[in-house]
Amino acid sequence: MFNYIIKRLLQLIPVLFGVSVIVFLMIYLIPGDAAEIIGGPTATAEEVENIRVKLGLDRPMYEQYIKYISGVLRGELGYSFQTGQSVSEAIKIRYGNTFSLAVFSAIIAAIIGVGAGVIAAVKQNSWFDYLSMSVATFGISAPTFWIGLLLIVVFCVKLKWLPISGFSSQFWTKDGLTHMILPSITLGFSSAAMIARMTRSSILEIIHQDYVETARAKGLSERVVILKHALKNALIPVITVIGVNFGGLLGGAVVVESVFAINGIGRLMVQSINARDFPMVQGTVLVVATTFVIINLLTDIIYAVIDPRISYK
Amino acid sequence: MKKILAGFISILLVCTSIAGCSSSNKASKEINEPSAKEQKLTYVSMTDAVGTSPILTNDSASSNVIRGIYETLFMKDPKTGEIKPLLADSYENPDDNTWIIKLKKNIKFQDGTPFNSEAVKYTFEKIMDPKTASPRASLLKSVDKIETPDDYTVILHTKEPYGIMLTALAHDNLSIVSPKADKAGDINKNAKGAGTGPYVFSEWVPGDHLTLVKNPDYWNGAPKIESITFKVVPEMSTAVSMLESGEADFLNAIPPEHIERLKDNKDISVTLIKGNPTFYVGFNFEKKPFDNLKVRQAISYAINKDSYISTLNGLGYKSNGIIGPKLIGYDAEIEKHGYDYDIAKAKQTLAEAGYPNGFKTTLTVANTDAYMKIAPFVQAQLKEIGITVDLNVLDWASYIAYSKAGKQDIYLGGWANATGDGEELLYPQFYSKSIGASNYSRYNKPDMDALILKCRTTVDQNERLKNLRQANIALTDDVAWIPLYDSNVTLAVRKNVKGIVFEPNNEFRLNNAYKE
Repeated sequence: MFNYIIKRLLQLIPVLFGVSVIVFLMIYLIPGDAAEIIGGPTATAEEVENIRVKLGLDRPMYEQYIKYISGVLRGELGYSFQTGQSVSEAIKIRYGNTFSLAVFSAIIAAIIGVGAGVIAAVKQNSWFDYLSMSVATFGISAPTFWIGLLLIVVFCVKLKWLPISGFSSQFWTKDGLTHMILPSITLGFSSAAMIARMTRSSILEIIHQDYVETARAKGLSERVVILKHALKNALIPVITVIGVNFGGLLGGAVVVESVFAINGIGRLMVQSINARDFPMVQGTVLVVATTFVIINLLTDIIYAVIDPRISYK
Repeated sequence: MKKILAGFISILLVCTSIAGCSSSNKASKEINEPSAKEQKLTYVSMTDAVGTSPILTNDSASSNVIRGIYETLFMKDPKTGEIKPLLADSYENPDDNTWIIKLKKNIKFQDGTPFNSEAVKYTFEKIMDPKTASPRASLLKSVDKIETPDDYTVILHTKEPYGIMLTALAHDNLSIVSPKADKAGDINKNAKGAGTGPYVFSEWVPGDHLTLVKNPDYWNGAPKIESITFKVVPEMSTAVSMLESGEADFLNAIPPEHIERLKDNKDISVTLIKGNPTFYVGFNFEKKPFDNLKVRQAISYAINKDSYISTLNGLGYKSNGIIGPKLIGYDAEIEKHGYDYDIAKAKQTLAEAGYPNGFKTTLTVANTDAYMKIAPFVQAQLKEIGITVDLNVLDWASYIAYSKAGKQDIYLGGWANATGDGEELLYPQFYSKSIGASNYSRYNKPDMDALILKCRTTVDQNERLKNLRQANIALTDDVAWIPLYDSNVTLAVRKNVKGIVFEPNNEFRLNNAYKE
């Protein structure tokens, strides 16, 4: 197992190198550069050229990349073209927000999704099954920004129960928690819906298998049969969905970050792309890619923990 | 099953009806509303400031902050548009190439150092230095030498007469910075003590918020507001909700779809004033058939500007002139010019131009809200006279690069004029040397170049106004671009906030703001 983890972590190096080359090429091949944006529509050609020289954008492409990558190897992600801020500093401020938002949403999604999925499967064709699966279909199809705006108007503007902005990653404080509720529900909603549907179908498949019937025949209570025998085996595909969705939550957070004015990494990435702020785009993409790979690794490890039949050599 | 579905739909309806309900629930716990008397203001901005140094920035979000921290030598009167002294006391022109500016005395920067001629010289020379790469260095391009005969006199010698010197000196990007603060650190990130303005830089969490606090020693009377937070909220619907819930105190540049919602709210007042940002259809004069005046006239005849303006919820108004009503250089006579909607004339003129069956072209557009609404309208209107328009939608950075390179056929453009002077529109947009920069039309006519230079260099202001009016008529007759509409600028404020001064270029001043 240990060797497997080391091997997977080593695989990160070519992945991140590939990501950095692709992102670099994409940013440089699309029209427009940071100097044009900083100069704005009023800037003269001379002003833009001066900015370009200052940022080093007048140098050949390969030279700019070598300069950048040698900085990365020394642990230096560079400075924003637009604001001059240190990239690692900018990411540090925002990463905690996005990560805690994604974790919180994943927890909400997992609790609601697995819970609703199990009940819906056990009480198949009951009113709860129909209702929860209808809500799940709605959750998968409704756009995140619409749900977010609807929740804001209901709970913040009309009822005034919760604040709109001011999100911080300090979820252990009451204030932090109140700021986190709506964004997490918004972000986790579609994920919960997907998990609920997956859990339901996975359990339905298992509860009619022989070993479950055997457990029942042994005289075990229905609760033990479902939770100990059926659910544990039904969880493998569910965990895959949770793991993949978590990556999606990090990426999809950009919409929720905009709607709830959260200073997160998704928003930073979009702003930086629009501003052609190459060092910032590279930095954010590298961090998100690393997180994604690590989450996938953790998902694989959890498989082995839950199902002893799975082992990594 | 039907009952279940009905139940689910009912829950949704309850949610949406609470959302749509206009009366506020007073019994509920109001956790958002700060105490009314707390003299703290929160402004919501769609974008974050790029920086806090006037020397290194050129965007409106930064300007809003810079206007609180720093001050310029001259300023534009928000009501009359007249340029009057701010940090300057008076000025004189012994000749067309010399500007002797006397400074006000006993003014200190927030870091305690005196405001004097050395500070002005330091600031301007830093802007003019190519190594600084100041995005607005062109404002001082005509300046040759700066002299400081004493602490309170600055003499600007220009290479050629520079008629818009006072307008340039009133530009936010020529705000005076404290040399001590600038040398000590990066005032683009932390502007503590760097200005002479009513508010002092306090804190900046990039991407989230920036806070200014009151300057108790402000030379023109300390403001009543204790602190101002510039909160970054990229989603306009959220910003509007924050204003409604009391989390924010004011916001500006509100798009048409939110105006009615805000006007209906009894706690919010919406101010709408005639502004100078203008939207237009531009042509690439280097490409056929747009070099043909008749083709440009036909396109202008084909577009029903009134019809489009009627969809803007009062946020637009019509003017035929390229220099609009809220700019220095406008004269009402221009309204007799231009080519108003007349579909028969449009078809006839297009036939006279040699295109009786129309032609095919591409309209280049930036993917921002305003342009994305105009583009299909123009596309549909031109179809009426046989011109098939393909849309080329680009993100902002690509749009700038594409347009500067002159790759477009026709394009949608916008221009917001920070100085309020018509010359700031003519020189960047229609002067031949601005091709490759902001002259996206690649407009290049020697007669017009000469006239634009006159507008720029004439020091006698009456004479300069005449030149501006003449240029406006010539460009409008030549359909240098088709003005679609000028914008009414909007400010929405919670009713307990008073004293915000709002200007036609969408800028605001908070010196005298307070909360009741």
